[in-house]
Amino acid sequence: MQHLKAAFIFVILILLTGAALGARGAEDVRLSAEALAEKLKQYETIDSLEATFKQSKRFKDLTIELKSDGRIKLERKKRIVVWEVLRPSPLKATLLQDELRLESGEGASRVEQTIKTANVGKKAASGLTMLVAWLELDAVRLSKDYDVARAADGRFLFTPKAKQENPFERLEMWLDSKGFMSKLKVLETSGDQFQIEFSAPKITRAQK
Amino acid sequence: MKVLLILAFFVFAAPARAEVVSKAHDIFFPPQLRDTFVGYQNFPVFWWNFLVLENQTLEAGSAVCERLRAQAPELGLARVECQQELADFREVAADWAFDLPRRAARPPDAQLAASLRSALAKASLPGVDRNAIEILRTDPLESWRELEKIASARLPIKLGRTNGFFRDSASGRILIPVQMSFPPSESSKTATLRESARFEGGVWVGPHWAALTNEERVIKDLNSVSIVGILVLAVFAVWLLAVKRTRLLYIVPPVLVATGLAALATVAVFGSIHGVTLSLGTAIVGLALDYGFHAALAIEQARVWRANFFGLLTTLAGLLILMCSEIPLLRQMMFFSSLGLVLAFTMLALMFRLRPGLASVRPLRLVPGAGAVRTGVAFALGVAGLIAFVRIEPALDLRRMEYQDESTRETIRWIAENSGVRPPLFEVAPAGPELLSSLSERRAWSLSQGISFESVANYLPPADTQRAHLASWRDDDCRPLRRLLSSEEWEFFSPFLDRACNAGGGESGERYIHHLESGGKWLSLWMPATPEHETLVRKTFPATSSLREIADIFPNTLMSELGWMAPLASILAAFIIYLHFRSIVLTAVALIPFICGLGLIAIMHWAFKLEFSFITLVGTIMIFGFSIDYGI
Repeated sequence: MQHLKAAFIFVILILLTGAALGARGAEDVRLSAEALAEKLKQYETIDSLEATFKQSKRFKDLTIELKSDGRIKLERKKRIVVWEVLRPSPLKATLLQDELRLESGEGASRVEQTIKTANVGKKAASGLTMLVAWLELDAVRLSKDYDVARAADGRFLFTPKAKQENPFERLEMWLDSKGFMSKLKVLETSGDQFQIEFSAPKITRAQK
Repeated sequence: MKVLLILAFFVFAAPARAEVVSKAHDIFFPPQLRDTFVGYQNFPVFWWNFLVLENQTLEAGSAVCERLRAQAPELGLARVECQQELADFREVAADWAFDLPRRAARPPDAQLAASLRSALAKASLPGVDRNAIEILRTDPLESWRELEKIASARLPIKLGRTNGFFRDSASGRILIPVQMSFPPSESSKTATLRESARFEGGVWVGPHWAALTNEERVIKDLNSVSIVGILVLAVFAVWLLAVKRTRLLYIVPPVLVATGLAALATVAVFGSIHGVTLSLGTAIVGLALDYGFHAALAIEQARVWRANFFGLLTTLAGLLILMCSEIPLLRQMMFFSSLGLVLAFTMLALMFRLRPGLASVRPLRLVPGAGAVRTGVAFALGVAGLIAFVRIEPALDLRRMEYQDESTRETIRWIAENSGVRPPLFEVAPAGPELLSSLSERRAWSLSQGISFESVANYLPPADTQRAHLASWRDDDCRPLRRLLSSEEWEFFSPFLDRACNAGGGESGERYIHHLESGGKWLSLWMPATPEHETLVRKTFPATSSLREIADIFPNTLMSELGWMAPLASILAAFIIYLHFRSIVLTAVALIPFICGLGLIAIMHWAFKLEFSFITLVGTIMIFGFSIDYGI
């Protein structure tokens, strides 16, 4: 009887420990700056990166899902992102640090617009400027501005440290087997969210 | 006498209560032009002021901007032009987009669909602000760009924008245009704003601040006059004590009572009493003290009172003639002064009659002797006075009475340098069916002449054009367009399409044109860049006015009136003196003190390069009053 009792207690303990261990495995793991840099090492020496994207955007108070696709080009050193939408309508957006240039339409109906971020206000410009900075995937800067964690399913979770200044509530990133970003999901503080899937990356590395 | 003193206190104090003391500027204008002056101030387009930050960093400027924007409703601020967010434009942009079918005909459905998809592509950009999304949903054709262009032309500040601020890189100044939500006449609200919005290195300039500082200056001057008057009386009392003639103080209460009663009567007749009337008019009433002093120091009362009577008449001659002025302030001032003088004279005469020994004292041993030098000086002053009477050029510009400290003056000069506009010309028209057509013609003319023009016609076409546009937005529930768009696209642009497909259903709040409307009247503004443009506008549209013109009404009116009033008053005074003396020689002698006084004024103005301002004019009236009394 005493042996049974001990065995029972031992099994309970094993089960509890196992559960605890299992639960710990399901938790997001905090990533240090060095660990993140290791994961993003593919981007360290990149000069420029091109990829195709498919994006879907959901708005908090609308039932629709806004879909678009096109090409993205990132020039890391110049801190320029060119976001070229092919669908629903051709639009080329060149995002710089203090300016957004838009080119839409074709032929006679072509329209070019330049919007200075200083003239539309901090809040209005913050989303684009934050995203430009984020897409450079500078591990040191990301670690400084975000709390970074790795989820059990391999996602990287970015939570802004200075919440009041960031229009994003949370960013989730997936890397492919070669270490390039394959998917990005962003939840904005407004409740809107968008998801971008990247494919066919073409990179140009900085010459040593 | 105790009763008289107590009465003097209460009667004199009563009119000084703030609620009956007016500080308004409109009293300087003849009645027919007062409406124009007051009227223009009621248009919100004239409610723009500036906050200039000196030697402040952009971070400090941001803190100021944030505070102004956060407290805008409590501070009475309608617009704060610094570091705006898209959210600030949403309401105006929504009204503007709602009225698109009034301004423009409906494009072909295929073109409309392409425009909507282009807007959708912009909305799809990652990280686009939600306010921008809502503007795209409401105004996918981006008609707000026209509104931005019109607004930019309206406020042509040459300074570039840095981080959402107008900044002068040379001086480091930050300029924040601020539009109030109340007119300049509501100075108590401006005073509240000043208390709540003090910023280090900040200078506020604009029509609201000018109105407030001018009104405060009037009150401050009134208080100074009161204090100085009391001090002078006190010094006078001490001197009387020293020369053992304190009985002369009995002359003061009747004059005080008379001043107070005159002020009460002025309030009763005019509704209020202006601070300038109280400050300057009281000095004129103070001349009545001379009647008492003459009587108190004289031996023959009958002779003195006859002289006093004629002295009063000569002074009243000038005052009553000036009371015929079109300028309400002068009429009020002369009414107050005349009534005060008459009451004071009457009360003093009664006092000396009923209590003859009350204020009488031994004469003072002050008998000026004659001499060659004194005669020479008097002669020179007399010649100068005669020349001045003929040659004097008054500078009666109302702007000289506008109080500005040095930093405000310098800031206004800097803003004028960086704004690139000349003073505008404006026209006011009542609302009516032909208003937009008439203004559209003016707009077309202005465009052809290259003259900047702001009116409601810049924002809306004539009524018949609007009807044609609205008719083009067919009330057919947009069935063809529905076939071109997906259900998601339709839902996304529903705020725009609900209006576009059912056009004719009402109007927006038209918040984009509120700044041009006041009390059912609409303001139009020309902003001529050159004097030639200004002349052309005035010639083509004679009903236009300028703020400068309104300000010049006062000096022009007063100058033309003085042209006949001054000679008439002088002739009438001389005639009255002649009636007293029945001798031309004695009449001329009695006028010598006035001529010499005028001469001394002229020499002082010439020596110190002073101007013969409105205040100098009032002083000259005082000199006219007592100098002739001394002559008689």
